[in-house]
Amino acid sequence: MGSPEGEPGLEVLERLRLGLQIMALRALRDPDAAEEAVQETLVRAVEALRDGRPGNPEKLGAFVRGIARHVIADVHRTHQRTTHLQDTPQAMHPTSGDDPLAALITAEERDHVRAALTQLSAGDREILQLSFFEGLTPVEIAERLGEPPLRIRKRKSRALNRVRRALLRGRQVSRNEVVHDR
Amino acid sequence: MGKTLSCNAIVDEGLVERYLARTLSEAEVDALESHYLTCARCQTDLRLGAAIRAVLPEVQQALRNANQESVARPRLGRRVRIGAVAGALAAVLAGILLVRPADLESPQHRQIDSETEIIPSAETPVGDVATLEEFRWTPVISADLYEVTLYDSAGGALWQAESRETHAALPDSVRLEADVLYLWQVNARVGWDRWVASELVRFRIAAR
Repeated sequence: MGSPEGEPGLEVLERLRLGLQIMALRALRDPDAAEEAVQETLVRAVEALRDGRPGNPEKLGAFVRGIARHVIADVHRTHQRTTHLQDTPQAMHPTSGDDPLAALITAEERDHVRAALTQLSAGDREILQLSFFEGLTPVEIAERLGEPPLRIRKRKSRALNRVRRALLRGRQVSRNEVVHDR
Repeated sequence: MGKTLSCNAIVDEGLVERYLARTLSEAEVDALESHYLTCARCQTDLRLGAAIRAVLPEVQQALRNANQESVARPRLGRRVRIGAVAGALAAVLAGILLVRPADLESPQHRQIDSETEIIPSAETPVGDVATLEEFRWTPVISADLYEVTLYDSAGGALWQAESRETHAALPDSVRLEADVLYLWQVNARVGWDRWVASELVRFRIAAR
């Protein structure tokens, strides 16, 4: 967890950063407030790591999550967000276009993902919709569509792999890297 | 703190999807967040889910609009329709000229899912084929009649047939040449004078 000199490794902090961004964006729904929460959490996490906490490196995730929860609650209060937007019907609606985590996706990544989703079959898109918007498990989707769960799992996995490759290509374009299709 | 999770368990239980859809319990959220804060693989899956949630609604809406336009479009008379198709063919053929031979040799036709299709999709022939035994397409639930049309590469209609099944055989009177590009399309009747059309599909019978 720490470097030989006792300082937390940069790679640990960078790994924490993306995870904290996801967590803060989901909770706060505001990129500026989320960034504030991420920075404050990282500062507190670095201080704790310097103090040798947590004692068990395997507990790092849970430990930092505890810090983040407190920080997010503080930021939430500071920004006077008294309404739990996550509980509103709009947040659950499939046509909602303001998912807070969308802030993590670049325009190039969106373009590539859009193309990949368009090329999927209508059935595979429906499986993704039921998964990511209604939160149904493959077994529940199988019951709804009248197909074997194993088949749903395979279709979902295949569809996700296609979109994953598209996202990767979009990311490489975003970074101006050479794109090699697998 | 909650239970410790593995990446495989997260995938198996669809926890990322349910996390983004906000259908997890507090204990599950606790366990998942504690895991992904230090897990690059799960963070990648969360970004993937975020991308799908950001883009899928607009894709679905665009496709719904396109399908509604297709369903609402009144069926034209045969002559007019073939003329219109010929125009569309010209556009398609312009695209074909840009297609590398390898694209035809390894056609990547979109996956068929007949139970949820509202337009027919060509199944065979597509791309390079060894022989042509019949034309087959996916069913449209509300369709009571299909009409399949074969075109030459210049957009001329070579043959047309109606079928209540999802296949039709080419009669012996129509002979196709090897290594020549052809196109075909199937229309499905879904109501009184209401038809929906498949995409124009190109194929070529390989020379022996």
